[in-house]
Amino acid sequence: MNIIKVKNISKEYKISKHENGFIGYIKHILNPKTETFKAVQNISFEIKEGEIVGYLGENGAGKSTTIKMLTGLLTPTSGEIEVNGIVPYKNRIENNFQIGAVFGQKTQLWWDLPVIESFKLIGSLYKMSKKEYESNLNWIIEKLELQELLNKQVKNLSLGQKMKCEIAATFLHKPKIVYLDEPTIGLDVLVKENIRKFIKEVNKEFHTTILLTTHDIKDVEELCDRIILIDKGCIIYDGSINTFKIKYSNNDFVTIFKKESESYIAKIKMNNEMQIVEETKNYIKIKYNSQKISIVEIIDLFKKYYTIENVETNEAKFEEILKDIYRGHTNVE
Amino acid sequence: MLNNYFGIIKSSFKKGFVYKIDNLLSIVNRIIEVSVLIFIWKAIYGGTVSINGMNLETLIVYYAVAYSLNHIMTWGINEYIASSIKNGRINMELLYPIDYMKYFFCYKLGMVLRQVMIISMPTFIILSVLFHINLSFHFINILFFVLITFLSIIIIFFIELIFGLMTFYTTSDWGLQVLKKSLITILSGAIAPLEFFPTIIAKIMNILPFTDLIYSPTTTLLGMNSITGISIILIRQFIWILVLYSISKVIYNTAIKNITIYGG
Repeated sequence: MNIIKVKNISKEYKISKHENGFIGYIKHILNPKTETFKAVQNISFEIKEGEIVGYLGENGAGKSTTIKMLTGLLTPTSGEIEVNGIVPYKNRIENNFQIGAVFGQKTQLWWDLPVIESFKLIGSLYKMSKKEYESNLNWIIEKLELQELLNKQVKNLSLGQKMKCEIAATFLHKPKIVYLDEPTIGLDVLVKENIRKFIKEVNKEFHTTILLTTHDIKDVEELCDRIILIDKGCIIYDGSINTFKIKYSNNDFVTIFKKESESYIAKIKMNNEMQIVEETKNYIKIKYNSQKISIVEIIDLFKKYYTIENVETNEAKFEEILKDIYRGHTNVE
Repeated sequence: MLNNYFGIIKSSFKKGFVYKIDNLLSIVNRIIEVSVLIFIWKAIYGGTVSINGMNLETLIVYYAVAYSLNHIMTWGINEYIASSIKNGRINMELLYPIDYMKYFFCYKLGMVLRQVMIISMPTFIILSVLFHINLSFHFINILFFVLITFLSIIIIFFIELIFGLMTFYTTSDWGLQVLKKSLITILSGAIAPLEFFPTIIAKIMNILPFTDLIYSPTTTLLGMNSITGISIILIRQFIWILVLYSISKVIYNTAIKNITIYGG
C-alpha cells in the first residue's frame, strides 16, 4: 500500500531582488522587484508503508522544500500530495498526529527546561493516555539509553545527547510516518551508529515509514533500500541503490597482476572505454566503463601479451558516483 | 480532553522559574521605577490636596497597582514569536498537533500566571509595605478588577500576536518590539492616569484598546468607576477583542500561507 503519494508537485518562491549600493537600495524601496525561483519542479513519487527511503541531493536541490510540503508547512504551487489519506497542507493538524519530523538544525525541545518536561508536553499534546505515555517513554528511554539525560536541562546537553533526545521526542507518539532531515549532522560515529540502529529497529518493529535526507552516505547505505535523487528541483533517479550503482558507475576499476616486468602496453589496441590509470612492474590498473566493455574483454586483450596471475576488480563506490553526478560529470537522463 | 492545553500552560509556567536572578531584577526594577515616580509626584503636590481630582494617596495606590500590572502587559510573547520565526523554531511548533493560535494563547496564559505569582504580587506587596498603602478595596471592585484584567490579557495577547507575526514581513523584530513597548507604556496610563493628559488626547486614548490594559483595571480596583463606567469598559473590551482577533486571524492566515522559513 502506498502511504505517501506525491503527484506533479512544484513549488515556486518569490525572492526580492536587490541591487547594489545606496541607489539600488532606494530603488528597491520605491519599486521592489521579485524573481521567481523554482525550488521543486513537477516531481512525483510514491512510498510504500514500511519503506525507508533516502532522499538525496546537493545542498539547495529542493530536499527540504519537499519535506516541508509533505509535512504541510508549505503549500505546493501546483500538484497534489496525500499522506495516509490526508492532504497535509489542508489538514495540517490532523496530519501532525500521524507524523513525526526531525530537522537536523532545529529543535522541538524546550531549551530552558529539563528533557523530561518536553516529553511530558509531547505526551499531552498528542493526547496520549497516561498508560500509553509511560509505556512509550520507557520503551524509548531503554532503546536510546536516555536515563541519565532526563533531568538535565536541554541547554546543558551535548550535540549528540540533544539529537538523541530530539529523536526520542519525535518517535514518542509512535508516528506512522517520520521525516528525518539530516538527523546525523555533526554527530560522532558512535552516536550515529546508535541512531541508525534505533531507526532500523523502529522500522522493523512498527512498520514505520521513513523518509530520510542526509549527506552521510553511510546513513543511506545502511538504512535505505531505495533512494530518490533530486537535482535542481527535479527527480533524476528513483530506485534501489544497487540498480543505481550498476546504472551509473561508469568508472569501475580492474587491476591485472602480471608475471612479465616489461611493458607491452603500446602494442595493445586500446579503445575509448578503457584507460590505463597506473602501470608498475607487478600490475596494471585500468579504469573502464562497465556498461560498454566487460572485464572478460579486457582480459582477452591483455592475455595476448602478458601472463596474468590474478585479477582484482574494484566496484565504484556509491559516494564516488554521487560526486560525479553532483559535479555534472555523469549525465542522468 | 483539555490535557493538551494544560500541558502547554504548565511548561510555559515552569519555564520562567529557571531564571531566578532575572525575576528578582524585574521586581527591583519595577520598585525603583515606581519609587521615582512617587517621589516626583510628592514634590509636585507639595501642600496641594488634589490635582485633577486625585489626591496624593490615591495616586500612590494607582502607581503601585499600575506598575504591578505593567510587567504583564509589556513583557509578552511577541519576542518569543519573533525569535521563533527568525531561527526557524516555528517549523517545529507548526508540527505540533494543535492550532498555532491556541498554542500561543496557552503559552501566554502560563507566562501570565508565572508573572502574577513571582513578579506582580511580590512587587505589589513590597510597594504596599514601602508606601503604607491601605489595602481595603471593595470586594465587588476586586471582582471587576480581575474580570477586566483577564479580558485585557486577551487583548494584549492579540496585540502581541500581531506584532510577533509582523516579523514574517519585516524579518527584523527590534523596531516592532520598541514600538509595542512605548505604545503600551504611554497609552495604557502606566506613566500617568488619563486625568493628567490633555482632554483631546485623553479622549483619543479612551477609544484605543491600550487604556484597558492598565488604566481601566486600576481605576476600577480603586473604586473610581461607576457601574456604568465599568459596563462601558467591558463593552469596549469585547469590541476590541473581536476587532483584534479578526486582524490577527487575517495576518496569521496570510503569513502562514506565504511562509518562507528561514535557514534551510
